[in-house]
Amino acid sequence: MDNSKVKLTIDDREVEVPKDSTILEAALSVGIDIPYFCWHPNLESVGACRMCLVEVEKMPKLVASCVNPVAEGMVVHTNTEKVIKAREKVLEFVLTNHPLDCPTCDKGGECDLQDLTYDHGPMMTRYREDKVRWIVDTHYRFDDLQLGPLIYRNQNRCITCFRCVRITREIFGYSDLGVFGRGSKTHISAPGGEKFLNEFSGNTVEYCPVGALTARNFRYKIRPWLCEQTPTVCPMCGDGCNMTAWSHQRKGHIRNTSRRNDSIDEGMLCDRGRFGSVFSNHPDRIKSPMIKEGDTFREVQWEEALGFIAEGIKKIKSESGPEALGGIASDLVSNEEAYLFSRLMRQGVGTNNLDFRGDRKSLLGAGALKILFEMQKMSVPLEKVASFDTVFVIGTDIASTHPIYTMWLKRGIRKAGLRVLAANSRKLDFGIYSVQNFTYRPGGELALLLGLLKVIVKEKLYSDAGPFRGGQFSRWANSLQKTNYDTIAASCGLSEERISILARALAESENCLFVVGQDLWEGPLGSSCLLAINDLAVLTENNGNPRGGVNLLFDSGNYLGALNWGLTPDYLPARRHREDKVGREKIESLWNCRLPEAEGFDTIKMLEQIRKGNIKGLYLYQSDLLCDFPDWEYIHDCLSKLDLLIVHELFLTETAKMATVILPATSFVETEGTFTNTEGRIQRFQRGAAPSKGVRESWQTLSRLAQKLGAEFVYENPPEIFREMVTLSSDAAGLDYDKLGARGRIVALAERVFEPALYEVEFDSYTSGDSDYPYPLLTGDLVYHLRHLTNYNEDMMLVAPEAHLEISPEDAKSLELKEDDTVRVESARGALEVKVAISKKSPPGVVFLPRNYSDKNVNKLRDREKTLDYVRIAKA
Amino acid sequence: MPEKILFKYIDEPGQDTIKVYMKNGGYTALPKVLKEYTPDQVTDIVKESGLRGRGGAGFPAGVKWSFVPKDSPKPKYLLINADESEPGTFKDRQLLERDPHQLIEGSIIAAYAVQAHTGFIYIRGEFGYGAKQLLRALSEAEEKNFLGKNILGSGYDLTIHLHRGGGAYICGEETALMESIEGRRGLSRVRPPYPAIVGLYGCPTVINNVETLSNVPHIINKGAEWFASMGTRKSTGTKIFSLSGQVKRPGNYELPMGISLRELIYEYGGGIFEDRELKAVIPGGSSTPILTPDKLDVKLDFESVVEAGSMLGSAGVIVMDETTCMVNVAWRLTRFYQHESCGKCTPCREGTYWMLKILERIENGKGESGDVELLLDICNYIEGYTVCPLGDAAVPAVRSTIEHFQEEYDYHIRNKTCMVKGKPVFK
Amino acid sequence: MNTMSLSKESIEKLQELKDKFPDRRTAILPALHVVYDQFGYVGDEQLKEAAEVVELPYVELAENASFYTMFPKKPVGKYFIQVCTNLSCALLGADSLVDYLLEKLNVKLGEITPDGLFTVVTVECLGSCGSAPMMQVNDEYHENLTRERVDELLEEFRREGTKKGGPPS
Repeated sequence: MDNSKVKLTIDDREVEVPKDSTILEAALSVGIDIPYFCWHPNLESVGACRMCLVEVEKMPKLVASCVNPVAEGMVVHTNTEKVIKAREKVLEFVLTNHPLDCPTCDKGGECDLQDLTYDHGPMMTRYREDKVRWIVDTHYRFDDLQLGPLIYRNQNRCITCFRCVRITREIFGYSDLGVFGRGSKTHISAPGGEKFLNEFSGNTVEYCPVGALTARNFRYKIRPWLCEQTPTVCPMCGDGCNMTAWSHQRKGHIRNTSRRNDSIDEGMLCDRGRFGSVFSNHPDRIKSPMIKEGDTFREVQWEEALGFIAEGIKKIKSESGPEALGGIASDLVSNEEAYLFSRLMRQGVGTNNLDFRGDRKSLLGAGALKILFEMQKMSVPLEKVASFDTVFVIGTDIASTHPIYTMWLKRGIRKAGLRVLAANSRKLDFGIYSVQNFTYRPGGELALLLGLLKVIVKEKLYSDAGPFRGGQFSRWANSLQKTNYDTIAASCGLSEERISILARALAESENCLFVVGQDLWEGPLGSSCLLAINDLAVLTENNGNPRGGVNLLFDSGNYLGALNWGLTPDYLPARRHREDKVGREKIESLWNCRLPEAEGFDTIKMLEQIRKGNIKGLYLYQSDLLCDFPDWEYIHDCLSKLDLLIVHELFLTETAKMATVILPATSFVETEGTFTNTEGRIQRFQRGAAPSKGVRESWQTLSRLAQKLGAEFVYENPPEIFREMVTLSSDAAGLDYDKLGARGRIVALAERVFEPALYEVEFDSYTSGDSDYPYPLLTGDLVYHLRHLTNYNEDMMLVAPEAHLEISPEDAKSLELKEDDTVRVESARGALEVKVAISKKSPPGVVFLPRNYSDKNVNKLRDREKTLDYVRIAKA
Repeated sequence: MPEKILFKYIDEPGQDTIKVYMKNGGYTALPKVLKEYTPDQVTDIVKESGLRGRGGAGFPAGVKWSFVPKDSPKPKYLLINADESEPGTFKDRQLLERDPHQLIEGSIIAAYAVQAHTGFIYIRGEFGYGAKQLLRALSEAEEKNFLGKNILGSGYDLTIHLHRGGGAYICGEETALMESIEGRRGLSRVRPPYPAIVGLYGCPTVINNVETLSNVPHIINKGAEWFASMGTRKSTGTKIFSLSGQVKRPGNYELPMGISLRELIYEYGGGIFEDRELKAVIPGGSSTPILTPDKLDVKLDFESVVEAGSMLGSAGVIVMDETTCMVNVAWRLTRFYQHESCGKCTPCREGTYWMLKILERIENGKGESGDVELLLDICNYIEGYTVCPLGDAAVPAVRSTIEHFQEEYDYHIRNKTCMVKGKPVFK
Repeated sequence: MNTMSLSKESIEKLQELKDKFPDRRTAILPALHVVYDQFGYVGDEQLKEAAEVVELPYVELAENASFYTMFPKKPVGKYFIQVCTNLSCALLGADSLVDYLLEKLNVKLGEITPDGLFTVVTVECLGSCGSAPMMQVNDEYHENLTRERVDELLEEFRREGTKKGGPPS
């Protein structure tokens, strides 16, 4: 890379910038403003709009500053009479065929064309001819054309800057939007017969400099200047994109726009975040505490509800001890709320029965979590991802689980020749950007990893300089001999040859990043897979080596925060192990209490104890366990057995309907606090909308309940909670809530020194199969459907209104199924009737049903005792 | 008759076949080049000959070739621009339909000079017959190993693809042409970088016009000096003038550079159609300003035409007689540029549309005072403000007709009708 | 065989194009010609099919098809008559040639005659200025036109067109 700089003069100021900068970039870097429409920092410049013309000495014509590179000694003027005149004329040209329908245009008030015309435009136009008008259909308002479910186009307003198509194609690699025609007939559209719909489509609306593209959720709803804007952080996946929440006094939280954070999102949002996180204003929100009476709920005052809960807890405690109570929170609550809930359960209730994981059949125990914490030391920040030469994504459909992460991968592919290798039981698709898929059979993930290790050892693809030599190494290497390639191939479905291709690609890369999906490390063989990934990274010398890295993905908004701040039975806040005396004492002195000594239960064990009648009271804090848990019959049975079920929720979920008592919770826009994203970055979000009348912020509720239980904790506000909790960690201790900065802070909560080690991993596999039920059933989140939350969002329900069974084209053919045919999906546990979606992501013989559709709950087909669920399919 | 280079055998039956072409001395320059000259020597010969681009801009061909970086590790490409679409120009079509091997031989020599191993002939989509002719000629040349691997045992490889356009004037512009070959809509690219450095597929690329390349075999065979001895000092060689419009004998005429406009129209063209009075001439294709009869003695070479207030351009000479309405001419040509504007940059897309609308109004008797001034102002902010030369090319028709015939505009606006009576009639 | 689908020959041609060039996208424009040559127009369905054969995004073929003038989106008459009305042709009566054709065929500009044989459109310069006025019929140029010559040509097309059976539907 050429890092040399050049000096030039812009408007009599000396400017020094990198050699490959454009004049526009140079000017912007020192705060000299040049107007533009088509330029965007993330896109290749095209020089189309001509708005950014400047005068350069010794050049005969004005030049487009967005495309012209700087040169040593160049003298640029951005404000000469000639330039000012040119801008005025360009704007006059732009406006000739613009309808000037500002009064009915949604962009009004936040329109680049309005703003630039205001600043630079002619005071009047000399254009008196007919304007080009794009009449769509008489039943569309104002010539609007629906390009896809979420986006509308008004071609009359378009100034053909092509930003929308360039964003869609260059940044995200999608081909569902194009530029058609030419000259004055140039227009933007989805290609004939297709829809514009990809998980990033909303960005086109935000970066449209005029009102040519508008979003369903905001168009004709409200004027932007009537909204209040608040900085917030998206909770819809683990990436933690920064957003601005827009709310209206009466209508509440109504939309989001990006809030550029160059460490995470570069000003882009996915549709799940942008549109899907608008649910706080939904009419179905719980607005009052309620106590169950018979089959119905009675609305009660807060004090009555909290008193009822406190009494209930005390009663169980006195009769059966604190071990008869447990708490499960969600992984979407803030760090402060997680910490508070941990404190409430441990101090107020006096139990370590605590978790936040409700959707797995097996969970990582304290030992595996320790390995996970170790491996986090190999993680690299998101903004560095694009600079790798090879990225190996395993065990996740990353485009659905971490949309913005794929933006960085695609950037790497586009700009730096990054190679993305993917191993998963469903195929990854990056649109026009290429991904090499190595699809393994569900249950064969560990087999594949062991296969990779075997090839690397056999072909001596590891570096000799590594620290692992001698007897210890050969013992480890010998342990791989226990599993032969036949076993491996039979388990993962990939031949030795295919595995060898992948192994060589990983080992021979300049630098390789392992991106490990939560489905893998939290899956049935999660702890073994973690060890195998560690071995792979160590062996290919990525480990402890600044060239490589391992990124464990945390899929939900605050999984890592919940893990860090004490929501597992064994790890107290700040990852202090329950038996770590120093940490324990520190917390006890801070909280002024004795922490419970007894071992706590995680979610799965708690459920067993409930079933046995040993746990009688459960506090579900924003956890929709009935929908999430991978065995509906079982969880329903468990929850029915409880004497006291406290549900502290946003919505009256199916779980909430089973509650003894319900408390209304506040959403992320109604409170403030911090989230921790998948990188470990702590970011602050602010309060953007008032909760419904009478609804208390959740942190207040948790504190008040603790008081009622005799625990003295009094907080003024979430920042105070933050300031308290960070004192428990040596790494976070210095953090200042008010100075987390525009990019947030990555906090490791662990020492950074990494001790590379190789672990012996035992082969295991769960690809049993069942002749009556031939299809392994996979499940997960759709990019358009997250938890129960998106059930309360019109946009997401429009795009993904119901669960579709995704099957491969091959299976569709052999079963004689067409798109949208209804099928009966049956397991030994139950049956569902759903529609079919034919998907190239599904390999033959494997089917997928999205989770969290309450009416078509995939968990009704699942059995907690079976590692992998199998189904059969018949046309309904 | 002056000496002809390109058209010497154009009327001979079978000249489009390799057999006749070779009988008439074809494919003797190529073996000579491959045996005797280094690529740089070829470039030098062409430089010395003074051969200038015949596509319109008149840039010295040899100099263009020398811009290709020799040390670049990237492949180099030769593009043969056969997208002849400038109204009033039809010389390349004749060259490639009737003497395709002359072009192919010149192209191979040019490709060798810049060390390109792949070339594309970008032929205008509408030229279906020309495409067939070229395809056949290319395969004939390949059979004789003038193309393909290890050409004539020299170790030099070259493939030439024939690429048909789809109907877009803009694709004759070199950067739009490259976009079109790359499979994108033919929008022009911003320069710099120039094609010689970053061209097709991001690689060094040379683009030459059909007529330019057709000259190359003759320059090799007869020498740079011989070529330079024809025409004028700065505009060497012959030029094919496409003569059209209201003239008795329209057609292509290959004449030495520097012949006068009067000679071309009256001697070769036989004078004005139906012996009417000459009113105006477009000397270099529709993108060049009109000249009035007082400029009839202008010498047709690159420099002299500029001095006279126009450009030699592609040497498409359109003759207009006294029955021609100049507002109609401006309208018709503006309609063309508006139709062909790619739509990428604002001034061209909106400016040509705006001008067309005003001209349409004037033509339809709805002109208003101030329209002419407005047209001139629009011209001023198209020219020099666009990405590519198409915007600049749209201006002369309007500006030069106003400059020389404003009274016709004024008459139109005042009287809501045309000053010139009668319309051309198809008989 | 479904007349809307690509023929075996077309598919073969497209497959050949796929890997012919240094970059696959270069095959787009030639692919459009293949589709046009078979159908006489280039519709969405055909484009989608072609895109699959050349393994390129459909949108890119569609964008290109819409940019150029040679690929009508909808079917046209069996004889697609394109009359140049640019300057040189206009100076020699191209406008009245158009009027003459429309009158003779009793059809409006751009429409198909009821027998499906003819569509007349005006186009910009076809590079035949020295032999004006002229028209292009399908792939062929007809130059130095006179009323007499036009009459002859139309007669010939009519004879030929009805002989070979109806126009493609």
